[in-house]
Amino acid sequence: MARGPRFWLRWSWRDLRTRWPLVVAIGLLLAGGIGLAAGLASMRDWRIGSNDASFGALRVHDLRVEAEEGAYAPAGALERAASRIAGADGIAAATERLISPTQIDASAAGRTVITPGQIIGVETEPAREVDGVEVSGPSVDSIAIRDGRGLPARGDEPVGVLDPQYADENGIEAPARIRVAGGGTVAVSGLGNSPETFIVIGPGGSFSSEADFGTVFVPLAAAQRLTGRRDQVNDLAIALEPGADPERIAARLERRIGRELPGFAMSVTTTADIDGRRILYDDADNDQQLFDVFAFLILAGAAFGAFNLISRTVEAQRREIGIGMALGVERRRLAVRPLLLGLQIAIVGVALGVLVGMAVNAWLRGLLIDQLPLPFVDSDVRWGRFAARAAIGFAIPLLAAGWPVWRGLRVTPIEAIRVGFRTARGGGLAPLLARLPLPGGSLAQMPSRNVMRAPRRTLLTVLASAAVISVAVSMSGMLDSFRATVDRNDAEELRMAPDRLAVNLAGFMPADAPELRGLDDPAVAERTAGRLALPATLRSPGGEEIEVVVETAPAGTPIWSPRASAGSPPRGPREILIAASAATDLDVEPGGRLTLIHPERIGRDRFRTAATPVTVSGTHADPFRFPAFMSAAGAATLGLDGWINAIDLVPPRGVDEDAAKRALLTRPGVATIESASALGDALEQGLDEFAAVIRVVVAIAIVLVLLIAFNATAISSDERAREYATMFAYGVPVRTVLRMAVIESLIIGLLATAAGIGLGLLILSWVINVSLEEVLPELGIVGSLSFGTLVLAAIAGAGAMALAPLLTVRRLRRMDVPSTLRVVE
Amino acid sequence: MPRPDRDGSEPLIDLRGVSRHYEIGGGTVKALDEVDLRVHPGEFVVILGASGSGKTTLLNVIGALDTPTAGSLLIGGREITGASRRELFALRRHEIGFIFQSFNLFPGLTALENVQFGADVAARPDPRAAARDVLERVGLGDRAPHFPHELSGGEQQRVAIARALAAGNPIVLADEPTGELDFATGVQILELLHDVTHTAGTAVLVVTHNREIARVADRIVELSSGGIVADEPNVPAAMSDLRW
Repeated sequence: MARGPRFWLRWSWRDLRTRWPLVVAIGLLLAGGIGLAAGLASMRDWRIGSNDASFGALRVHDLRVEAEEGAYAPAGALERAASRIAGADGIAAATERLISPTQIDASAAGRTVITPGQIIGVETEPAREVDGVEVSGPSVDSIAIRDGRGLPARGDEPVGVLDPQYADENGIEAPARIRVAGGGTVAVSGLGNSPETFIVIGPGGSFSSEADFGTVFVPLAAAQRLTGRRDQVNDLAIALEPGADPERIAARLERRIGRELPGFAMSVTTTADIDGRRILYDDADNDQQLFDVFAFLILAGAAFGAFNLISRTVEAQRREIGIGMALGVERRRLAVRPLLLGLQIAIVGVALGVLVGMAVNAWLRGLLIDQLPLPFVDSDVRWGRFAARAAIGFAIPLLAAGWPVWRGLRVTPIEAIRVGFRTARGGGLAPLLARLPLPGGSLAQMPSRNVMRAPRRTLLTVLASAAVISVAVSMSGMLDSFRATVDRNDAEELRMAPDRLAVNLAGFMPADAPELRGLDDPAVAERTAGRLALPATLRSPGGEEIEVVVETAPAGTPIWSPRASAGSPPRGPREILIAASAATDLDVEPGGRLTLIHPERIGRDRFRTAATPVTVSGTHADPFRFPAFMSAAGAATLGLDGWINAIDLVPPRGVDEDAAKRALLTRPGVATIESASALGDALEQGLDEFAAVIRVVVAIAIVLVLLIAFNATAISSDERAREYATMFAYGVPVRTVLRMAVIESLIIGLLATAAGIGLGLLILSWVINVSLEEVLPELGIVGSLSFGTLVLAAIAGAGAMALAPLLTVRRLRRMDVPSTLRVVE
Repeated sequence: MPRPDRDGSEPLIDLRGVSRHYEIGGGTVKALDEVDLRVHPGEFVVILGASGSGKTTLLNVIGALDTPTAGSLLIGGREITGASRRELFALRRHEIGFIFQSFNLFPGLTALENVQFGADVAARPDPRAAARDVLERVGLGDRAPHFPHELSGGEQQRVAIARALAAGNPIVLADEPTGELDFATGVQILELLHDVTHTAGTAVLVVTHNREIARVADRIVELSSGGIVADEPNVPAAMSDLRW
């Protein structure tokens, strides 16, 4: 028995030659798991790296003085105030801005584009270049130019830079001309964005889609002319010197501005308050958690599958191991051959896994560059993470081979050699089923008995498939949940008037202001109703705060009014109706007390921030967290009795949305016009892009399930060869044998589907209640699993499993029945 | 056309000049060479021969598991050489029952269900009752709910015989049915097959290399190098006279 390693290697090589399809198939299964896990593992690093590079290169502000809606300061006043605080030497740069909502008409021949947007007037500096990208505009919160030219260093011409995402979505190329509210025109010289507009955030912090909300950067003086705010600003962006204390400077700045500009309601925010930045960073972390879960599940699926299949293959060698034991071969030598099989699979799995991983990496990098709204993308391959996944993938088949070898070597030689050892060794859990009065004859009973016969194998196959199916279910379920949320929002917003338009005014106006009279014209609107809508904060007695947009009930013909799903609508001046998710987050119930922190008008263009105790009258049915409603009497609480800044409008019959928007665009006082369902539409559009990623992952998951199913079936078919041959000897047709194999596989597939759906629901629940709750708490996502997702899971699980035996039909037809009947093992 | 024998009865199995040659490694192996054999209902025939004599090939050809390269084969008076795959499957369902050396029971089915399988496949009316009846006949009525791994080797082979008989087919082919059994159990199995042959009128062909087994047969056919070298009637010995 003193054979050297060459003997075992030669034998193993022969094994490989006879078994290479199986080795490749299991290797592919592992490769899919390793590749996807490795590819997904780099996402966070890429995104954080890209975020750092982009925010850094454009010198994102450390502090920002942000005026409340309707508040303005004389140009230069904010910069002066900042320069006078104690410790002003901690300020490296400061730049004033004028940010104003507007309506953009970018229509051209064959294209109608009329959407809400914002004009950002900025001080301009000479352009510089960072990593081959032109950086233009102000010294803080600069603009990265993607196409065309940036803003001129000097001048006050209405030359602008347009958000590239908005331009791409609407087919706009630079140079172009766009019209803005009030009738002004901007010559778009280039496309570019700045740190605050990487993620499109609409007025009041609401979400908008890239197609439906445009940002145009223009020189400050041009913005002042376009918006009728000559020599006024409402924003100051500040970059601090390294080591400066932002909190201390912010506090001093707030006090200084309060003293120098009384009535200028504002807040000083930090980098951390930039919604888009928070989303980009939090999203990267939370998405990575999600990707890690998915990667783990896919790798677990591959591991279970590989373990199951290798175990079964090694068990098939058990008789040979027994013969070796009987001949006195040392156990460690007997272990070499099956372990070499594991090694072969490990090598194939990792080699192919590297290729799959590279492909997944390339795909994800392309997707990032395409989808991430960042001017600087860091997508270098993270070899460390890649290697870690590959190492796990390498270890799995070795462990998977080790376990059955260990078990095999514990059997006595006589047991291992015994004829029929494998087939007659036990009925597993089949006796349990034997006591159930199942219908049909012996042939009908056989598939379910076979499932129960080897419960450990069945369980491993079910777990492998279920892990992968759960990825498909949870990812698809995320789409379902977003869609269900949007549908519920649409159902609520469009409840009373499906074609309702929301018109945001250029500022606060008396409800009977002369410039609004024209909106009552029957040619413009069938019905109108004015209201207030302004951003505010709700604070619970425990100190928890959430941002909301408070709307007052319409004054005039009601086109839309909120309804309470719990409690009652607001009636008194200090009652508020909030979202159920807001009530949960603030830990308050109808009748409970909150503090509303809101701008309060104290004079023309003068506001202060006020804190008013309010009572929660009830909760509304909108799933989004930020809408909050007060009665018409609530306007007095906000210091805006008799004033409005938004109008609900129903276009005349026969006038479509675009025509209505065009007619309203030139009306004085009108800033933006959008459908009442714009927010839902924006989310829907965002989902379509997300859906592309999900579809690819789901497709990979289905391929993995197919591989698991095919491998399991191929090995089952080998193990059952003698049973099939016996059936053929008794004249059972191939189609009947095949049908039995399909039914057996289908039962396993159904079990895997049920387990996959259950596990997928758990993951979905975690995603919605933990992960998304952190990143997008404003949305109040409603958990949902559509019929389509269940069908997808059934196709991926039961369908793939049931189809797999059909791939063995050729082998069954060509079976050498006499030889198979005589071959003992 | 079937040929009646001199006594006027028609053979159930009729091989005429049947050959089965294999091309292996550039040479031709004559597993069967121009074999003529006729077996009648109620005959208990033992095919005897050394390893490689062609006895298993003969059994496979008769069982329609293998096709002759020359000659013709009639089962129940019907020519089956050249029959389609579908016809061969149907023939096995309705004319033949198999017993194997290593039993080949279905481990997921109970003894009764394994026997019922034979009746199910042959589409016998009330297969459950037929299976129970045959299982009683082989003396395993009390073992009906047991799974194969709960039975001894002899019991497993008796279940296999019951499965072949439950089909109710006129021919039973047994390939080394006592090969894995001890002497006493082997004798029990032979007794059983012997009884079946004479009570049910079934033609039973048993392939073996064991001359002692051949002593229980009505007729002994001896094969060597793919040809029949002896085909003699035999006065069956009493089971108690057998020596392993």
